[in-house]
Amino acid sequence: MVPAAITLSVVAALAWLLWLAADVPARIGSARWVGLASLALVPVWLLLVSYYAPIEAVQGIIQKIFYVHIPAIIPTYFGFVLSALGGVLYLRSREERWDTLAAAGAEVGVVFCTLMLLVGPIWAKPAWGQWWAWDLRLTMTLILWFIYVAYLFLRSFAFGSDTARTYTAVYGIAGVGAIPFVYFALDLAKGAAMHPVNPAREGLPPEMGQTVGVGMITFIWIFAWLVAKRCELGTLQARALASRLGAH
Amino acid sequence: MSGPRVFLEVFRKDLRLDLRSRDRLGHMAVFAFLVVTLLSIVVPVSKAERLSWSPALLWVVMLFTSLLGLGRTFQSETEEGAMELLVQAPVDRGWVFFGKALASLVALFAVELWTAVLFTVFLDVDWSAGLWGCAGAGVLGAVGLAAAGTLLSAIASGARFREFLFPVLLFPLVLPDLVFASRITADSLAGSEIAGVSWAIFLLYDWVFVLIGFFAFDFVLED
Amino acid sequence: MPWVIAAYAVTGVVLVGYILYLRAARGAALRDQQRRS
Repeated sequence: MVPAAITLSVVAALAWLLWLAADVPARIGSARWVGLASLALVPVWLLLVSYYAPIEAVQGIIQKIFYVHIPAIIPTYFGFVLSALGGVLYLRSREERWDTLAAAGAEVGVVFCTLMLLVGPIWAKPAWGQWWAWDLRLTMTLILWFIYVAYLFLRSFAFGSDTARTYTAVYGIAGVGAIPFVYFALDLAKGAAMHPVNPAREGLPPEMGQTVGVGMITFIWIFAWLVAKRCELGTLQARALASRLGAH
Repeated sequence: MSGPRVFLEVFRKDLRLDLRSRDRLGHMAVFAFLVVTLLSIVVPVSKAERLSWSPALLWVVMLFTSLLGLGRTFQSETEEGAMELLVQAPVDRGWVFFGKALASLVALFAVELWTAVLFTVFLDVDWSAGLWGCAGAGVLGAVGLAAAGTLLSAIASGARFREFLFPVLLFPLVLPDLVFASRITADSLAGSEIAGVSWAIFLLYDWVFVLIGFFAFDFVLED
Repeated sequence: MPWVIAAYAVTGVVLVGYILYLRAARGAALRDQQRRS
C-alpha cells in the first residue's frame, strides 16, 4: 500500500507540474492548496517519526535520521527528470515556459541533493564512525550534485538568455544520458558497500515502512510546491525583463 | 553541400591545422609528459603498487590533456569570428560535430600513444601483457572523450569562464568513460578475463554520446 | 540524539532558507515590474 501511495504521489505531482508549467500565471493559484497540504503533512510525519516509529535495535535513536534522509531521494532525482524533460520540451517547441520548468526542476533538485549530502554524513559519523565513504549510493549522489551544479553554472554564465536555455537543455539531456552509465561505472569501481542495505528488500517493520512512506509523500509534495513557486518566480522575472526591454 | 562532405571538409581542415601548426598536438604532448613526471614523483608508491595505479594514472593524464586539447576545439572559429561560417552550413550540423570530434580523436590517439610510451620508459609498464585489452580500452576511452569533449567544448565556448566551465561540465559526464577505460586496462594488464558486458556497456556509452553530440549540434550551433 | 536533531534542523534550515530566498526574489521581480509599468 505504501509503495503504491508513493508512486501515485510522484505521478500526480508530475502531472500537476506539467499542467502548471504550461500556463503558470493562470494556474499558479493551485499551488496554494499543494502548499497547505504539504504543510499539514509535516507535523503528521514528525509525530510518526517521534512516537510511532520504533527505536531500532542496532543503531539506536540515530537510525531515526533515516526518516529525513530517505525522503530526500525522490525529489533529488525528480528534479533532474523535470529539468531534462523541460529541456526536451523547450528544444522542440522553443516555448519559454518549458525552460522555466527546467530551471525550476534543477534549482529545487539541487536543494534536495545538497540536503542528502549534508544529512548523509550527519548520519554516517555516529553510525559508521566516519563522515564519508566512497560507496555506490553516496558517490552517485555526489556526482549527481556535480551535474546539477554544472547545469546551474552553465545557465548563469552562458552568453545571452537564448543560449542559456538551449545549452542547458542540451546539457540536461546529456546528463540524463550519462547517469545510468555513472551508476554502472561506480558499481564497477567500488569495493565493499558500506551503505546500509536497502531496508525495503530486507523487510522493514510496518511502522518504519509507513513512517518512511509518509515522509516520502510529504517531501514529494513539498518539492512540487517549491517547483511551482520557482516557476512563478521564473515567469515573473521573465515578465520583468520583458517590460524592461520593452520600455526602451 | 551534403552532410558527409561537410564532415570531410571540417575534419580535413582541423587535421591540417593540427599537423601544420602543431600547437595543439605539441602542447598536449608536453603537458602529458609534465603530468606523468609530476605524478610519478609526487605519488610515493612501490614498484609493485605502480602497476595497479598506472591504468588510472594513464586516464587521469588523458583527462587533463583533453581539457587542454579539446578545450581548444572551437578556439580558431571563435577567434576568427568564423563560428557563423560553421553555422550557416545548410545541412545537418551534426556532420560538423563528426568532423570536429574525429579530428580531436586523432589528436587524442596520438597523445595516448605518446603517453603509453612514456609509461613504458618511466614507469616500466609492459603493455604487451594485455595488449588487445589495453588497445580496446584506449580506443573506446578516446572516442568517449572526443565525443563528450567536442560537444561540451562547443557549449562552453558559448559562455563566460570557459576554462572553468569546460571541466566542470565535462568531468561528471566523462567519469564512466574513465572508469571503464582504466578498469579494463588494469584487468588486461593483470591478465584477467574481461566480461563481454563491460565492453558492451562501454561501447554503448560511446554510442550514446556520439548520438547526443550529432543531434544536439543542430541546437548548439544555432546562433 | 544531538545528531538526530542536527539532521532534522539542517533539513529545516535549508528548506526554509530556500523558501525565504524565493520570497525575496519574488518581491524583487514584482517591484522591478511595477517600476516599469
